[in-house]
Amino acid sequence: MRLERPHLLAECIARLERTCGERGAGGPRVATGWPAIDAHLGGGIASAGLHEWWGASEDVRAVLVQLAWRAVLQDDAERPGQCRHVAWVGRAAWPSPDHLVRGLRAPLAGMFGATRIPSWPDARLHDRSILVDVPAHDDGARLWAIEQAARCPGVCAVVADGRGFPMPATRRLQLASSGTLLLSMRGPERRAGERRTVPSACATRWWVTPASGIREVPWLRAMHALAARIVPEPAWTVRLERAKGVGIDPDACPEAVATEWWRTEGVPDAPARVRRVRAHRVARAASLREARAS
Amino acid sequence: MHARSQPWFAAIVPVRPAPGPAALRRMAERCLRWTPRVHAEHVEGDWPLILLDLRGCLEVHGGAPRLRERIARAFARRGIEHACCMDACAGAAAARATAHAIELSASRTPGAALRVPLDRLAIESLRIGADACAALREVNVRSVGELRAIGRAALADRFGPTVGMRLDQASGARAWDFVPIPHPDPPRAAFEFASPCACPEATARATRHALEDLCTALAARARGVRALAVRMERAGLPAVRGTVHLGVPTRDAAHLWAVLRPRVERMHLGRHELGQGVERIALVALRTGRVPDGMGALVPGVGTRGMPAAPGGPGPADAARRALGELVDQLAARLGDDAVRRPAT
Repeated sequence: MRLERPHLLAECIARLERTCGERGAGGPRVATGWPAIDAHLGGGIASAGLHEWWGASEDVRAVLVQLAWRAVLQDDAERPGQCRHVAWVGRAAWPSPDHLVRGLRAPLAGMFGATRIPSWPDARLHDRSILVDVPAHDDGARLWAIEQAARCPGVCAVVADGRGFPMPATRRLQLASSGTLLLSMRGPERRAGERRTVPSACATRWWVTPASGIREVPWLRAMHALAARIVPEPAWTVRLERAKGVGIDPDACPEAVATEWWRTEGVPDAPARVRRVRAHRVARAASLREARAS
Repeated sequence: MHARSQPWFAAIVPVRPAPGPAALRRMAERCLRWTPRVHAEHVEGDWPLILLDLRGCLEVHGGAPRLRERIARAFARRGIEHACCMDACAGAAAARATAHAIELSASRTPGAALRVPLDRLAIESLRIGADACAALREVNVRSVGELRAIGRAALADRFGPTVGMRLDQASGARAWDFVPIPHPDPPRAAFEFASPCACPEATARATRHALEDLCTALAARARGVRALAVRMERAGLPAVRGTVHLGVPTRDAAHLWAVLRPRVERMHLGRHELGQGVERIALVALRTGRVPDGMGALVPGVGTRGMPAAPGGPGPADAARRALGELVDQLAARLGDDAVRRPAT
């Protein structure tokens, strides 16, 4: 049988391959910035799917701010001009406003001998965040709000309070997050090993604990400070415990130390307003020089 | 003395592109956001003028400099080059703004007209007509000060009452003939029942019908609703009224119904056996905004039957903005108006 429209068939095949590729292992990913884990996951966590984070709320929130920053920067690079937002659903997931501006501590970055790169604060995440408050103890409303946010094409990432959701709820969220990075905070374990036994449809499961060692031993901190190799405080240990499609040895889970890198890394370009003022000053100086010369 | 120093009037003269009467009227209607009293003047052969009566409105906008910035930003966003001047006297504001517009059109260094004394302005800034200006220039009268030195009787004999009137208005001796434009009628729709109705399904259907009528009215004006006032008149019960604020301007009846539905379902319709029920549903679009053409397309950037969207239509950025606005509306409708916030600054 002769094919009437071969170009249409080729287009359909390409579209199917594209769709399958996006959902499969080769789909778009958000680099976490932790080399060991990125190498394990093939470039980062999938930018579409449900990722569960266990640990104390304040620790997990601090780590998820970092991932939200990564998601926004990657979204800007892939979809310039769209300005997609990040939704923070549930008060437990709400970050502090100053965590949403990166580069505020950039002037301090060179204090311990490191090379200081001049940079400006970047408030993109602050400007593109919406905070959603849901009634306390209303799990249905919380689930509905997370689902709505995850299905919205104007949202690139959702950071949600996902405590106490049963298996059917996580399956709903996994289906809803087919085009959005959904980071769910499951909270601390109420009993040892709970996170391994609670059934969930998530794509990855993570465990966050405060980094020990340098942080807790004062003389070690002093030694590191003197050696100009101090780790920016605070820091967290992030462990990847489960990932669909990737074999992980339970006794040797990939780990990384997460730091608040966004506090010291701004943008090299000055804001538009500052650039405008500078250009105005340069033009004014040039006109004055011309006037004096004439 | 202090009160006299307050800029009570703002004069705006659009320079490029030169607006016709209809465009000037639309510009004046947009200026109603800053003050309820706006005067528009379009005389053939003279500069178009929009005059804003700012008395009592400056505090709302954070002072005159801030309002001036807002006006400049609003006109610049639409690509309209304009001259703007604020003054305690309407005539002086109009004269300075016209002089500034003449500077802008001649590509001279702008700004001098806003600083020099009124008497040093060119006679064209008084808006006395091209013929009168040409005749005065023939006798070497070029500035307002030189014109003021001529006797009023001689001016009236030669040019009629207009020149003297404009001189008096510029000096503040005479009030400007301010004719405020009427406020545009907001888009509205209503549904009236033949008899009081306490059936939830019928009420929902009637609300959707009214919403579709409202969206048709909005589409005729190429606008979308930003604030929607709803009034449900009930027989035997007090009327229910409320205002819904939307994240982005929309004229999508399905989305508006999704926002209104939780509120309508919560409403007490009354008891049919007591003769109670909804008699009339009235919708008024209190605030409207622009909606990009073709925002009803199912897939952003793609027109009907898979063809590429028309150039100038909504792009992915518009679609993302609209989707986010609809998300905010849906969350606010179910969780409450304060449920969705921005991070503190």
